[in-house]
Amino acid sequence: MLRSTRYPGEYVVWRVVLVEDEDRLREAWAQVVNACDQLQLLAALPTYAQAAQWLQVHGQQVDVLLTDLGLPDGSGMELIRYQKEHHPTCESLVMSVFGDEDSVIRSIEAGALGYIQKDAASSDVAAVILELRAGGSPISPLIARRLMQRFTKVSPSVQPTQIAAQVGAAECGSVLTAREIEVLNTMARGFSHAEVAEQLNLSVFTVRTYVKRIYEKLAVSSKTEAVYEARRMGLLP
Amino acid sequence: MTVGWALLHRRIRWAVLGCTLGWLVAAQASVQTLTEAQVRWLDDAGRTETVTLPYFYQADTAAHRGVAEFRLSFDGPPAVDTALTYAIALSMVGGNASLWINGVALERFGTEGSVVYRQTRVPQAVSIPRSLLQPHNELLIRIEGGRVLRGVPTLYVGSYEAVMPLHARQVVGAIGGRTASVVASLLVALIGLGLWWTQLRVQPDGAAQRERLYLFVALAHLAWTVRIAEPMVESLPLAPEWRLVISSWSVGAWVLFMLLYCMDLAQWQAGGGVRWFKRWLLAEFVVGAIWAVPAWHGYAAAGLTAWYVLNTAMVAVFSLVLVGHAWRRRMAWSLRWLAFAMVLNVGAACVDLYRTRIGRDYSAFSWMALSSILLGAATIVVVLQRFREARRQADDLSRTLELRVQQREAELREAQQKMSQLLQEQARLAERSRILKNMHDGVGSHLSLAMRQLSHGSADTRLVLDTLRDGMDHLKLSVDMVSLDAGDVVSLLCSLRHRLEPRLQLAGVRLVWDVAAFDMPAAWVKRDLSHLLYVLYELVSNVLQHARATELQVHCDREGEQVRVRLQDNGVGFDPQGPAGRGLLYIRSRMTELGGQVMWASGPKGTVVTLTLGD
Repeated sequence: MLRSTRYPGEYVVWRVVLVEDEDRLREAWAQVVNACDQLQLLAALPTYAQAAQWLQVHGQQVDVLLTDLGLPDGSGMELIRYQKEHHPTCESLVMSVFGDEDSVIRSIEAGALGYIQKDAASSDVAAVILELRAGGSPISPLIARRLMQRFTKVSPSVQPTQIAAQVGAAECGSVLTAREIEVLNTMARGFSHAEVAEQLNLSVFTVRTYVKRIYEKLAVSSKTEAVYEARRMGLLP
Repeated sequence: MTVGWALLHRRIRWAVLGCTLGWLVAAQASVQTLTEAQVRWLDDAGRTETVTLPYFYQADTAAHRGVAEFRLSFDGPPAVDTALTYAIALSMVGGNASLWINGVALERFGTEGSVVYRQTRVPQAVSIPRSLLQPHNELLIRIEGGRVLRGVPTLYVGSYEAVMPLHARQVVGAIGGRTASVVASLLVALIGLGLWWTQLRVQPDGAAQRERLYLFVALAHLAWTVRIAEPMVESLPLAPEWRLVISSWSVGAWVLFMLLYCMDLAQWQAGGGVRWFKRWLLAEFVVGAIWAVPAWHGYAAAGLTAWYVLNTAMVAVFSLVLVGHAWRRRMAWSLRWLAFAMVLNVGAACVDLYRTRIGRDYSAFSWMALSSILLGAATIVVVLQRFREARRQADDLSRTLELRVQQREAELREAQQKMSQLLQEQARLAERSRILKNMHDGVGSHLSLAMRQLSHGSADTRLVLDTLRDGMDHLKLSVDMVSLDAGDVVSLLCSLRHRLEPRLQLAGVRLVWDVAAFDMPAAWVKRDLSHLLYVLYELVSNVLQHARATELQVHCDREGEQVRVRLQDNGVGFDPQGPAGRGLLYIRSRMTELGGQVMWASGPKGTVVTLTLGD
C-alpha cells in the first residue's frame, strides 16, 4: 500500500468513478471498490450523458475512470478521451467482456491505460486498479502482437517472430525503444510477465511499467496520426 | 502635228506587216518536204523504181531483203537565205543505214556489217554544212540488208533554225508520249507489286494468301513497259531475232495478264468456259513468243501478223463483253471506266496496226502509247479502290474484333465479380457455419450443462460456476480466433495460455511453456485452425478435470514441413476405454478433418499427447 504524499501518515486512496449501464454489474463492482480500503467510489453512473455531465463538474477529482464501452446513449471511449484531454492525471480502465484486442487497442488509442474483463473476480478488479495506479498495465499475447504490428507498420500476417528480425531497433526507436520491442516480442510469444522478466533480466514490475509506457505511446501516436491525417485531408489548418 | 503622227503610225504598221510576211515566206521557203525517192534494189539486180515516202518494207517482202539505195533530190538554199547550216529531219531510220549528200558521207546509223540489230523509232536530225550544198542536191540513203523493218520516212530539209523545231516536235511526238506511257506503266507495275507483296488475306484455315489480282496488274504493266520502251532503245546486246521475240512476248504477256486481271475483277472465276479461256490465253502467249523466231527468219512471217490480229480481235471482243457486263451488273464506276479504257486501248491498237501493217506508216507516234496511259490510270484507280476497300474491311474486322474482345472482357469481369461474390458468400457461409459450430460445441453446450445442473436443484454452486467459466473461456477463445490470422498456430497457443492459465493456476497446475519461434509451413498458412482450438481446449480441460496433475508442459516446434504440438502432464493417466479415451477418439476425427494426426501415450506417471500438422 502506498503512503500518501499529501497526507503523511495515511495511505493513498484512489478516487474511482464507475460507468456501467448493467445495474447488477454496476452495483457489484461498486461494492468491490467500496470494499477496498485504497479505493474510494466517487460515483457509479449508468449512462453516458450522466457521466459526461458529472465529469464536466467533478472530473478533476477523479483518479481512476472505470467505464464500459457500449453505453446505451454513447461510447465510453468519449469519456476516456475527455478525461485524457482535460484531466491527464486521471487514468482510465475499460471494462471489456472478452478483453479482445480490437476493443482494447481502440480504448488505449483513446487514452485508456488498461482493461478489466467483466467476468474477473472481485479481488482481481481491485488488484488491477491498484496495479494501474502503481504503474503497471495488463496485456495479453494477442494485444502484444497487435501492438508490434501497429508500431512497426508491418502486415498483420507477419509473425511477431519475423517483425523483430525484419525491423531494426532504429526503425522503431522513434516510437518504441529496443527494450520495449523486446518486451513486446517476448510477450507476443506467449510468455508470462514473470517469464519475460526472467528472460530479459528485469523485474515483473518493470515489465508491467514497460507495458504502461507502450500504451501511453500508442495513445500519443494515434493522436498524432489523427491530426496528421486531418491536416492532410484539409479538416484542420 | 496630228497629221504627222498619223502618217508615222501608218508607216510603222506597214513595216511590221512587211517584216512578218517576209519572215513567214522566208520560213516556208527554208523547209522542203521530200516525199519522192528513186529506189535501186541492189539485191534485185539493181532494179529501180520510184516510191512515195514514207516507204518501209519488211522481211515479208521476199524481194526486199538486201541493200537498197534511196535517192532524193532537193534544191539548195536561195541566195537570200544566209543560214550557215542546213539540216535533215527524219522521223525514224529503219535498219543500219548511211546518209550521203552530193557524194559526201554525212551520217551513219548503226554499225556497218554489225550483227547487232538496230531498229529504233527515235527521230533523227542530221546537220549539213552549207559548203556541201549546191543549187541542186542529191541525197542518198543506203540501207543495208537483213531482217529488219527498213525504209525511209518523209524527210524535211531546210535551214537548221527551221528544221530543228520540227525535229523537236517529232521527238516529242515519238518519245514524249512513249516516255510518259513507260513511266505510267512502271508506276502501276510497282504499285501492283507492292500491294501484292504486302497485302495478305487470312483464309479461314489461318493461312495467309496474297491477292493474285495485284500480281496480274503488275505483270501486265511490266510487259507493257517493255513493249513501249523497246523501240526507244537503239541497240540491244542480243541476237536480232530476240528483239522480235521480246516485242511479241511483251504483247502476249500484256494480253494474258490484263485479261486475267479483268476476269478476277469481274469475278469470272467459276465455270468451265472461263477455265478453258484461261488455258487458251496461256497457249496463245507461248505461241506468240515462240513464233517470232521463225518469223524473223522469214518463215511463216504472216503467221506472226495473224497472231497480232488475233490478239487484237480477242481483246476487242473481251473488252466489249466486259463493258456490257460492267454496265448490266451496275458494277462500280471505276470498273466501268476500266472496261471503257480497255475498249479505247483496243481501238488505238487497231489504228496503230492499220497504220503500220497496211498504211506502212512506221512513224514513231503510237496511239496506243497514249491510250495505255488512260488504261494505266483506270487500272490504278481500280487497284487503289480495291486496296482501300480491303483496308476498310480489315479496319472493320479489327474494330469488330476489338468490340468482341471488349465484350468478352466485360463478360469475364462480370464472371469474375460473380465468382468473387460467390467465393465471398461461400467464405461467409463457412465462417457462419464455423461460428455456429463453435457456439454449439462451446458456450452452447456449457450453458445447457449449467442449466441442467441448476435444474437438479442440488447442484454444487461451484460446479455450476466452473461450467459457466468453462463456457466463457471457450467463448473468449472463439472471439480470439476471429482476429487471428488463419494458420497461426503459435498465436493460437498463446491465446489458449492467456485464457486458461488462470484456471490452471487455480487448480495448482504449473505451466511449462516451450513454444519456439518459427514461420508456419506454406501449406498451413491461411488454414482454418478452429478444429485445433477445440482439440487443444479439450486436452487442457482433460488435464484440469481428470489428470490430477501438478505440471503441464506445452511444446511446439517445426520440423521440415511439419508442426508438432506436444502436451505432457504428470497426472494419473487415463483409461482408453473410459470417457477420456472416447474423447480422444473425437479428437482424432477432428485432427483428421484438419489434415493432421494425433498420437498419445498414457500411464500412471502421466500422459503425452502429440499433435502433428502436415505430412
